Amino acid sequence: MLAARLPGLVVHAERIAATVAAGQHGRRRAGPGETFWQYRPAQPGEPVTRIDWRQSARSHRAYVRETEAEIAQTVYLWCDLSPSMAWSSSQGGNLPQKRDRAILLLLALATLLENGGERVRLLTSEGPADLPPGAGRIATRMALSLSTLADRPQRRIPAAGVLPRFAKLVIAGDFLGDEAELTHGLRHLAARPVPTQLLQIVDPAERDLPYAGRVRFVGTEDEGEVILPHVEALRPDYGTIFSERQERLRAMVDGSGHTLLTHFTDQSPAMTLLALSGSVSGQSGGGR
Amino acid sequence: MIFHSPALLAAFALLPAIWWLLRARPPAPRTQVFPPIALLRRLKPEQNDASTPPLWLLLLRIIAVGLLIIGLAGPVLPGQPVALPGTGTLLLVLDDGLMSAADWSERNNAAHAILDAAAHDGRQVIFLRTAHSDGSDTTSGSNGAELKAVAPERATAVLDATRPAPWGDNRLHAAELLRTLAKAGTPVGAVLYMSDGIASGGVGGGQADAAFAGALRSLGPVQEIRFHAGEPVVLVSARGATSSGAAGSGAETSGVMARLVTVPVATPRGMRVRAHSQDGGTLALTEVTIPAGEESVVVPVTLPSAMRNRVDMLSVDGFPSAAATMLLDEGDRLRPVGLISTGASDTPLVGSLFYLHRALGPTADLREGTAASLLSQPLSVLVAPDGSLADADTRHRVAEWVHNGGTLIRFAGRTVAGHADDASDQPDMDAGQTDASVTGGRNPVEASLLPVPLMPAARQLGGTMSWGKPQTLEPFAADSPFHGLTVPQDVTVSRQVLAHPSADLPAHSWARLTDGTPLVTHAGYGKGEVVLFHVTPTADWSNLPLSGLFVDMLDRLVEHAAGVDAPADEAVLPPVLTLDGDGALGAPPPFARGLAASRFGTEPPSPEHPPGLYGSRASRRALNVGDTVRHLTVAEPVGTVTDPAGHRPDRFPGPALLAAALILLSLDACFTLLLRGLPFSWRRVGRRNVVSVFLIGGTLLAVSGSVPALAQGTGVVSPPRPDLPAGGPPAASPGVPGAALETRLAYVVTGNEETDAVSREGLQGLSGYVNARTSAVLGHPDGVRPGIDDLSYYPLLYWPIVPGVRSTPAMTSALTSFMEHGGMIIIDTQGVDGTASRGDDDASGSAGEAPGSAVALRRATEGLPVPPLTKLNDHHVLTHTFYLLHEFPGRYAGLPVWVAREGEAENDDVSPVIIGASDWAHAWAVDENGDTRFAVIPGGDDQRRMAYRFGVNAVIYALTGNYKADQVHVPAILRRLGQ
Repeated sequence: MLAARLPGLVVHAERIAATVAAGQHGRRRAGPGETFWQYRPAQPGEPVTRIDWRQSARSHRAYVRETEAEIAQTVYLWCDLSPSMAWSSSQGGNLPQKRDRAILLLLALATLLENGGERVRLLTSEGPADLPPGAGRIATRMALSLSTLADRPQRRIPAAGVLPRFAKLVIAGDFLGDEAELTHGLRHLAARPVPTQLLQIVDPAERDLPYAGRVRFVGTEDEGEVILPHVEALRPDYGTIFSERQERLRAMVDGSGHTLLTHFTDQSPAMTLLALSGSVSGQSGGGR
Repeated sequence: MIFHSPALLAAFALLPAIWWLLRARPPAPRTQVFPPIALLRRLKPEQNDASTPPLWLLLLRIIAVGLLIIGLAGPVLPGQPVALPGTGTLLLVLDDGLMSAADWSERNNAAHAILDAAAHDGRQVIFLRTAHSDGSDTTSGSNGAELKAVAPERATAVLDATRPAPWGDNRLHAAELLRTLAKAGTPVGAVLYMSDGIASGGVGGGQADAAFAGALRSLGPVQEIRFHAGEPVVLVSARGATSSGAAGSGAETSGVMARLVTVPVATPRGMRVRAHSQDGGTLALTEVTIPAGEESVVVPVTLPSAMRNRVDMLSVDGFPSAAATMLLDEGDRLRPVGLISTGASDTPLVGSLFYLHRALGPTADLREGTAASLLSQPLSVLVAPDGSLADADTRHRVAEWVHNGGTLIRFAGRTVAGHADDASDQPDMDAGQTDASVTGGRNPVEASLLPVPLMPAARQLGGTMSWGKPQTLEPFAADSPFHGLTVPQDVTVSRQVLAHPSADLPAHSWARLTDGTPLVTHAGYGKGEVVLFHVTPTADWSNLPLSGLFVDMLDRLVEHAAGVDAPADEAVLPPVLTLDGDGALGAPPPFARGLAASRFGTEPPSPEHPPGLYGSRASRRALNVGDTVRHLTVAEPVGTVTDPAGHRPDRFPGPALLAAALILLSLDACFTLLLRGLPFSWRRVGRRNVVSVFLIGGTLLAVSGSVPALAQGTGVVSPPRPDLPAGGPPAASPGVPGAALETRLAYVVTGNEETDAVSREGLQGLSGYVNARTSAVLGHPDGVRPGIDDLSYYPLLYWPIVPGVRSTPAMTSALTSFMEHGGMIIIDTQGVDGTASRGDDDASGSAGEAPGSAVALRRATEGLPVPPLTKLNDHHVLTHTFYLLHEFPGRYAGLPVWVAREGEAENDDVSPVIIGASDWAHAWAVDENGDTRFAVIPGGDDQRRMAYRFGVNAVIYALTGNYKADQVHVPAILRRLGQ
């Protein structure tokens, strides 16, 4: 099921990563790297091997060639694979499942970060997952790892204990589970501290309730059923409840120092990816 | 209205129950999966009405159920009652011969109506079918050779099984049956005769009709029913028409394949005749109009000759009947013509067969080959260009073939002329004796295969050295097969072979020049014929082969030929495919028998000999209705003629009612879906409902279709369970080592935990670096113990030398085998042994200390086939397999690296070992968080990067060997190729 969709997602992810990568910038300071940064006059006592003789021959001073700093940071990715994520409001396939969209965004983010010189790890309940080798590109390897993950039950929020301090974490999910559990997990992450970027994936139907007539609603995780008459009349009320919950979630995230990004599956993934990568790499830049 | 199962009507009592059920149970709500269901629980719906279905929906359902009940009860609408004449047993005589096919459905309906009426009146019926009167229709054994009064239901069963016969009515036999009936004294109340209105044809047809009419009348007052839906038509072969001496020259009859014979009526009728090929496809469609009052019209089929020869069957559109279908047999086929080929016989414009090919190709089945191979196949015409009959043996065989009925067409030429020359050049007894023996003993044609004796030399007309002019052709004589062809004036003959003048020369000549000399001569020999063109088949002696006349002449000759020897003797041809009464070809019925070949064309179709194709493929003959029917005449009425109008059998409206009920039920399903809200998940819910509705509907229709036999089980249709696809692809069996499935680096396990961990982390880091930078894909590294683990999966082995290393014979032999088979080992002492004496050239202050490593290295590599070593320099392949490297640092920089000396031819010049002390593993090592644990000395990211780059080069070197070394030569190779 999931494994069958992954190849397509990998290709799509790499495509949108390539699109978004047009906006990539370097660290904008000198450091070990492969990209040329600047020439600077050689300082006394500097090893002679560092002098760029070709450049120095053009003037009377000795110059050193500096390359741009590339400081790798490990970004941990977490994907909520619970049954509520494997849902899409459109049966015809116009909208992807929330899970597929989350995986797509994470894979694209991984590709983007990898190309930017960052290290990306996939996080599981047991700790950072070993990415299988077998393919050179990060998206492919991560997809392979995900396909094995999908068979095992996973938590909705990773435990803070498996993460190194100051690690960067990205959580993709719908955050529809128990609010207390979510608050608890986020507080623990904040206390580690692990600054976390939450990526909330929402199906437009979950926001709009586009149903009418008498409908028996059932959940995806054995939550029982709710029979509602004249659903179309209840739509405004539902909208209020939904936005209230979003507000609560945002307040909870902001309060614990994390950031929240909400993505609706009818939106373009590239836009969200741009915001996501800006958010993730914007906060990096510190030491290890 | 009558019901077959009135008991089912009791189900109407259930209707109020259905009413109550529908009101009590509103339609079930639509199910919708919705993950944020927790949010929905907080909603407070204001109105909670169990929706009641509207009244019109209730009515719709009740009407549908009512229709269902009525339909299942098996209603019968009685047909129009027919006023039957007289009382007592009814004698129903039905013409069901081939002329009845045109109006069979009306005939069948009327007969059913009469039998229904008889059943209503409770009268017995004697049912006689004139074409099946002898009981040949085995499917209805009740109507044997004896006539009996039976219940109308049994007669109906017989009628149901009756189809129009592909043969004529046997009225003579019917008359005998009727006479025995009269003798037996069976009381007959009334006689109904459903006639086809066509008099019996053939010899004695009139007598048979008269006898039949008399027998009928003797039984009682006869009421005759005639139908006017369609007049019967018969397709008659055109071969019979032309040979019967009807008017029409050759030009007029060309293209006519058949004649359409019918009963003359006062208005013109248009019909379409379809020409079918063997596979049933339509080759041509001909519109013919039968003028008013005419009884026949010719059917021209305008087709190219080649296509025409493929016509297998003619049929009249809208008249599915054996009479309106004509089968063609081998006699209508194209004639096989053999061309005896010589050397370059098909050379354009000058080859001897070039013009013959083009003249005969469109109209004949051309075969080409040597005389021997041609004569082994059935042929009707053999064309022999000049020189092809030089061999005496060949001549003998050809002569024999001609004697048996073949037609030989010869052409003159140098050899024919020269043959005559030779004969004339030998005036002595040799030639004379030959002549004498020929004339005395054997037919002269057989000896020379020439129709007439020839003059010694060819005659030149109108050359530079002759007085005469090229001669034109005389119009063809009436006894010539070419008669009627127009002679174009521009056809001239400039050279020919001349026949010996003799008294019977004109009789042998079919074409002459204007001066009277023969151009085409012929002579019969045995059953066959020899024809000689006195010119060549090419354009050098005359321009005849260039003209259309040549084509026409050859066509005429081929038509003239006797054709394939279709047997015309007493050989019995078995039926292969026969026509049924509807004009459809099929397997012959079991009672069909073979027919002697000589009787085709005269034998009328009969139950023993139904129309169709007889005989094996080579000598297939067609027996057609039209073979014996020349014209149709209207029969004298036997009794009072009545119109069949008003006779209508019972009807069963059950299926229609059920279909209406189903339509209403599907409407109901649609409305219910609409009532439940948007057709949002129509795909899921709707399809299942509709499918079930149609499943039920199909079952109901099947039940209602068999209303008279309701006892049939209502087979519940259950779709076959689709085979579930087997699970995913089979996983690799646990016995397969992971290194066989992916490329992995390996390190030698030393037993020192710290060293092994560093080795693993180092190779892990190197693998990650290689995966990120190159197209090589490496898996997680393995630790191996040489001599215990299988090394053959690994391209590269990293071997850190620790002081306490021990080497066992097994280990040495495993590593030796590894190196000999292309493996590469990086041997790393991880530091310099300061205690050991060493060269001063690699002195470096930054190298780490590894005491005892030199001894350990020597001990470890003892027994290994280490080749002569050299220091790694910039020119070695290893320095440019991926990166261009000038230094090869590990954790320590500036230490030398040793590789095998180049120029040793072993192992493709690829070094099996890389020996160094730079401690690469520590430089490469990456821990599980992706950090490098060990600083490099003297330091700097540059050094670590260089260390990685050396590792990449080493891996690529291990994977690709001396590929990069070869690539150096590419420019030179390209330059050489360019020249």
